[in-house]
Amino acid sequence: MKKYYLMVVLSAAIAILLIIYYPRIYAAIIAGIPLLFIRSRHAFILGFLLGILVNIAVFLLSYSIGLISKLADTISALTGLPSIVLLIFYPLLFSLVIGISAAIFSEIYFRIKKQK
Amino acid sequence: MKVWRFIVLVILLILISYIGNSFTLLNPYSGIWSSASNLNYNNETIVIPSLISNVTIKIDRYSTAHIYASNMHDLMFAQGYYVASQRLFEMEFFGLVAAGNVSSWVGSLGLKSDIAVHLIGIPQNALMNLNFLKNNYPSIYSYLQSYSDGVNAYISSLNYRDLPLEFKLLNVNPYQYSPYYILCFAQFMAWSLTHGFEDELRSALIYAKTNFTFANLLNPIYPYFTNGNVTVMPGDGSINNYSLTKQGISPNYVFSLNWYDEWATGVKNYSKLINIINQSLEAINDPYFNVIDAGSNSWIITSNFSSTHTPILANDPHLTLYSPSLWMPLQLVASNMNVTGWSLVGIPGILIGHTEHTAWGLTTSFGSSSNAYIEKLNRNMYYYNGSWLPLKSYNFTLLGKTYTINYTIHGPIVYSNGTIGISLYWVAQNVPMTTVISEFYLDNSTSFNDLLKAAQLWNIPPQNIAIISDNNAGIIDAGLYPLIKETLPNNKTLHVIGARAPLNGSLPNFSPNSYVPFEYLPKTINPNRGFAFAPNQPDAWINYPYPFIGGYWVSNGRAYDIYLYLSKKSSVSLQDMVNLQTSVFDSWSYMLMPYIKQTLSNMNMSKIEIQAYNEIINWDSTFKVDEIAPTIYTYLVSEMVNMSLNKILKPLGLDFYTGESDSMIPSLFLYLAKYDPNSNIFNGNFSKFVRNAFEQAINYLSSKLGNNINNWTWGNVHKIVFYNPLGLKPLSLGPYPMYGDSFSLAPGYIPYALDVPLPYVTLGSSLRMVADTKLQTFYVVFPGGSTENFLSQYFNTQINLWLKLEYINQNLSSIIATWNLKP
Repeated sequence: MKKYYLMVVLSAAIAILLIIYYPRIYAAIIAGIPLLFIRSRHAFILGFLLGILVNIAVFLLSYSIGLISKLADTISALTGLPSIVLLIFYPLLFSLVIGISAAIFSEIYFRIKKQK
Repeated sequence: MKVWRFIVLVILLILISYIGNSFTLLNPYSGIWSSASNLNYNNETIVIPSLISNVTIKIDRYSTAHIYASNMHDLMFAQGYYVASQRLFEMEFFGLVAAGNVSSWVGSLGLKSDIAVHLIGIPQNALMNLNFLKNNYPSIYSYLQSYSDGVNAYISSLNYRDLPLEFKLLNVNPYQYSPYYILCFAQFMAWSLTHGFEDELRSALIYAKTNFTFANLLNPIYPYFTNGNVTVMPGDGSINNYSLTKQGISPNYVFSLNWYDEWATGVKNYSKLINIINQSLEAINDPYFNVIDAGSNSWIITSNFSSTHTPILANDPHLTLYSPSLWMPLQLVASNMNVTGWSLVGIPGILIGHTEHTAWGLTTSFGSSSNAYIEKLNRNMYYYNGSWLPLKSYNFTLLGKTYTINYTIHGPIVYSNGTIGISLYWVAQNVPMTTVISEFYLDNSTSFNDLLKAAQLWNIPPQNIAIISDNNAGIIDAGLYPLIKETLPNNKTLHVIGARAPLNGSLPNFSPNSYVPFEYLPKTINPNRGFAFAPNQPDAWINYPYPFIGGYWVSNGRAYDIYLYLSKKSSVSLQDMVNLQTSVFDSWSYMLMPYIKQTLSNMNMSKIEIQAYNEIINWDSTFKVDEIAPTIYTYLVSEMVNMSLNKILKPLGLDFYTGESDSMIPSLFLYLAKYDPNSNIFNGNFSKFVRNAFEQAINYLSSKLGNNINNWTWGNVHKIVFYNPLGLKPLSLGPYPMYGDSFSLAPGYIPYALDVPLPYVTLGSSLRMVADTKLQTFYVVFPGGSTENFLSQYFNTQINLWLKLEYINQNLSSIIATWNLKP
């Protein structure tokens, strides 16, 4: 159990580092790898939630909600896209990538384990 | 998991990763959201190896940065660094537009702008200037280089997260700034403030489509009600004992002539040129970013006329009010220099401001320093002085396509139909712009003589430089005015400035052959009456030795606002000058209203018309946001325009005349009401005309604003918007209720239009300064702040003060942060 917690923390740490230092969506694949010890369906859900939480944490720690809301409204007026879509689009893709990545690596891990 | 599910997941992962790559700008840390961080100024220590010694930047609560350095290199470097830290996108955008390469950022949207900029010759002129400064003024060039190095040092300190929002939205990176971009923007601003070429083309259109009498009525060489009391240089126009009469020429004769005629222009018939004139105007119309100079105010008070016995200067240049502003408030201090004021973003030094002993302000002189020429063409040749000469060509590439501009002896051909073209003559194509040097002379000035020396170097564009020192005050119309030698119908010859219409480019006698000598430029130093003013009215009255035939002055409205106020005083205080600068009084309205009121006084009126009439009957012609009378007056005049000028001009395609803001219209109506009330413009009867217009205006206002007249306040129909320079409306500020009108000193420029609300005010006082150097008192305000980040509280630090017509006492601003820059 302790190992699972450690892996979740590691995954979250990698996710945060990637958001800050390497903001490409595909890089989130790496953040899904530590979750491979968890069964694929749970790994997906966990990875996805972890991605969302990490993004929310970065938003809340970096900015005031009022300013982000004003900025989102302005960008929304510029692009014609709803503010909420602008705010959640990246976290959603990022989290999906972590989740899918976790599910895939989990599947590979358990298949190898099963074959052994 | 089944294999197919596994494969689907892998494909999904690849797909999302691929699509997601396009959305890194939405990343919560480094994407666009990062604009919401680091919005406050903090005390900082920044290491910059390029500095020679320590520099301190103190930022005060009204967003003025005070930069202290021990040498000019560090001072200019720090100015560049600081301005870039606050306005990087704005300065780079301006630089790129001015260099005619904005299409590299915005694609084909910027192509027309880029071509126009090259047609005008801005990048070409900037290159010429660059070489001139390098070879002749290496120290000035080194300032430009240090400033650019400072900008680039800031750029190199940035990562993607730190980039201003606009760079991320456009998906572009900052380019390396250089003296070339500084000079491009300086040239761009100079062109924006240059008069002649476009005025002559428009003037010719009016003449070609009507006749001399009508063209002269709409567009007189001197605006209505000009006299020697309201010109920049008071008096009859004589200067240094030189005048038209000294040349044996009668001024009245000169100004009674038809200056559109063939003897004056070498052109027989303008009606055949209408299309080519329209196309030429369109070709150089820059659709991407404009700095429109609608007008400006400045005046000086001599020590004899000042209640404190010290000279006073007031200046407020009227430009397009962008958000962020074109200006950056700064104090620059180095060993021999201590100057405070405003720098144009992207250009080093202080353009308008004061030192410890001097102060200066700028307004544009609307005399021609560019001209239009009709050129006869044959393939790659043009006809000049009886010979066919080869056109010179200049090539440039935009978005992978090469364009060519052909030059005659006068300048670039901005449009041609193969055999006829129109070329643009502009002083800046032939003479390096020493204005950049003049600016540093002003910044280093310690005496009135220093200011005069600086004025001598100011060549492009011509500007009325209002100057004061501890004991002296004056205004000089500094700059290069090209002179054209004309032979009058009475066979006398004289040199004139500009023309009323494009000149024949094939005849060498119409080519400019010299400039007005500095000693004969219109000027007034310590005028006896105690004051002088320069709000874009004529520089000199009719006996001036070099007649401004190409004078496209504004209507004298603001000149009368100042003259009526100051001529009634025996002395004035600094506070009086603040009051005058923020005056919303319109002198044209004040002079026109008695005729309107007299006409309406015995009119049968409906209930709401009586209410409206009661509002204007005791009105003092001030345009305050909570007043109703300004609304009634403005829509009444708009209806008068609609019922008269628009009916004549619109079918002729001349509606640009009534679309202008500081137009001749109210002064024309006043002139006709006074001297020709039965004019055709009034359909033969002024009284009937005004009554009809009044009825229409009240009907219109009732239909748009309802019958409750209390809703008809000026602020309800007259609003201001500060647009983003990129044209991004959500990044703009406003609309806010706006005071003033096109003829008040605190202006709120609008054309006479029948719309509710009126077209938004977008031009106005881009800064306000009232200065007394001897008392070391400076009241200032500008509609902006320091940073271009619209989320920051320092984005529009002073806009609310500006909107309330309030000022900052520059001596009383506290420091909120200090940056220590160390080598």
